[in-house]
Amino acid sequence: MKKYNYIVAVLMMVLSGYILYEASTYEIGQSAQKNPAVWPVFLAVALIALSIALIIQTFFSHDPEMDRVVIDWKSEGMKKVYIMFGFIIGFVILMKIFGMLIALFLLIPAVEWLMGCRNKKMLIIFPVGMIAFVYLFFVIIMKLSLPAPFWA
Amino acid sequence: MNVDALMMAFSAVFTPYNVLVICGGTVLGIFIGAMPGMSSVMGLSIMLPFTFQLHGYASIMMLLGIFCGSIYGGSISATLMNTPGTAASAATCLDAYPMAVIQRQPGRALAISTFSSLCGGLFSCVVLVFGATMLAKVALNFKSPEYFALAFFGISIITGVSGKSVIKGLMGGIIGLLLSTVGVDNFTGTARFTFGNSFMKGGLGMVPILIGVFAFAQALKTVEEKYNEKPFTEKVIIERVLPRKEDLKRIWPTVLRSAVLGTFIGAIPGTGGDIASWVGYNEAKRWSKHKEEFGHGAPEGIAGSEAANNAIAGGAFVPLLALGIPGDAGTAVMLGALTMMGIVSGPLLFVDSPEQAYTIFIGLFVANILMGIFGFSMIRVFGKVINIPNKYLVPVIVTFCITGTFALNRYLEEVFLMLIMGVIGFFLIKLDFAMPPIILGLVLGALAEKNARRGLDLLSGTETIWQHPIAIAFVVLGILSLASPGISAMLKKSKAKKAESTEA
Repeated sequence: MKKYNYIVAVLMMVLSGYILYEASTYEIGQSAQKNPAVWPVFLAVALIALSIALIIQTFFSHDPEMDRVVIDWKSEGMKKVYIMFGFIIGFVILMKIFGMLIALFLLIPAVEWLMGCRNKKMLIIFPVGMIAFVYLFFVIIMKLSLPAPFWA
Repeated sequence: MNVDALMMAFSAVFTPYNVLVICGGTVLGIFIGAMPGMSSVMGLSIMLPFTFQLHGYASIMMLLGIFCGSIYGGSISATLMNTPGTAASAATCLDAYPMAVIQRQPGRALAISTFSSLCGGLFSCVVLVFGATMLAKVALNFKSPEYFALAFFGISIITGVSGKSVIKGLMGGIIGLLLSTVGVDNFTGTARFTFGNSFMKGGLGMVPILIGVFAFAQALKTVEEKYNEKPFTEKVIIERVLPRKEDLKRIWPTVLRSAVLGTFIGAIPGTGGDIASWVGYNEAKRWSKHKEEFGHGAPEGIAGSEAANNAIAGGAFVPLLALGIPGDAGTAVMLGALTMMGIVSGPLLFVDSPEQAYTIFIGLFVANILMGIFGFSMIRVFGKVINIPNKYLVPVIVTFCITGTFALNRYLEEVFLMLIMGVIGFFLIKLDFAMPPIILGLVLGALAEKNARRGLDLLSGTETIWQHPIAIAFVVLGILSLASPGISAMLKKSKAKKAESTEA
């Protein structure tokens, strides 16, 4: 946790630095109401103060929690999460090409499989049921036009 | 009380359509609460875009049903599988599970829990009606400094919902406040943090962020932790659904005590159902004549925690409606929903649109009553939903996250925002960041900024801060709230030192 606390603190300070930089480019009026920078600057300064507090707290802490491994990048669970990220990126690309319904029809069994489902019937029936529900609820009842395939 | 407004509220709630919607919301809420993979806030977040498709007050009625139902629903999985459906039901496990499994009386345990939840919920609604109206009268004299101080106090409660680290909780709150600054500034028209993107000029939508950090991030966490989990397969036979006379006789003082405690705790911003249920449980044990039964299936144990955690519903609505500050993540979602529906909560709500406030009061009453009716009549059905395996639950959550986000404004960019926030939320959770502070910051951001800037201008003129004692009181309360974890840690240390020195 120690390492990540330092990383978080540095990232927050970088973010604050960017906020202070962007706020310095705004046109500033004479009153607080005419000054769009006043609030973001206040928040950025508070974030810097908290980042410093986090560094100090982490440095002087004797809490055994600090030695805990918070993210095991190579664990089986994290590997599943990476695959999930891949599915999501694939879904976004497929949605742009084939529309939302077809992309969802492929995403649902993929997530089912990722969660340990190996029953072939359920890998087909469940997505069909879900897509039927989505179509009925969104398109028929809510009269919503979902993102369509490129040919439609 | 404005009788005309009250009649309008009655006629708004008691239409067949709205009653049907509350029924649907309550049943859905109980299902959501009963499923161990889902929380009350997650359910509210996912369902928020769908409720906006309903007409008039129906959307808020459905959310009230989900809110009430999900708090109660958590007790079902706590009773039948020793896994609280929501954090607020953790204390219920201690006695409900032994009664259900060791004593083989699941129906009795569920009946006690349903009865106590119903009483706690109804009691808190009565307090809400009087408490919110009185508090709103006091708050009518508020000006910008008071409103800013109020928003500051509202944000300071982050320490209560920060999870493991207060510093990270505060950082999360500031991230939420910063997210609310994205877009065109209302006072000057300056585009802030938009990177020249026209979508971002309109500001970041609250709902995609809410769904991302509460629902999609949790789905990713479930993928990581429970990807191959075997479902709960034990068959549960529920023998009776109504509480016994002797149980009622034994638990009524506990129910009453916990209802009062839960309502009071709920009304304090920064607390929540989990704290209320533990306090209710501890007090039930302290006052019980059968202390030895606690942990082995004591009826008072179930009643104490369930009455308290359901009583927070009405209690939490007191500061939400009267002052416009949410007490926890659940009410923060409700505040966001009210704002998006054009209902501006705060003292003026009771002057400008009292019928809206009364509609919420009545809606909450009806939702609680329906929760009891469904709880007693459909408990056998609800008992079955705890068997839904994660391999089906996660795809359902992911599908609803995507379609729900899109349904709100029909922007694909909002779906992408939700997915990005979900991934960020997942890593923030891993780094011990709590999600409620981010949402509190996001929801209160606009109010805090508007009144901070107005207040600064006001105070730089002829007025001084000393002319605003209520604002000072809120700021002091806020500072105390921020310092409370440090103070309590110091007190604990000094107590431990004292104990060591007396032992030596």
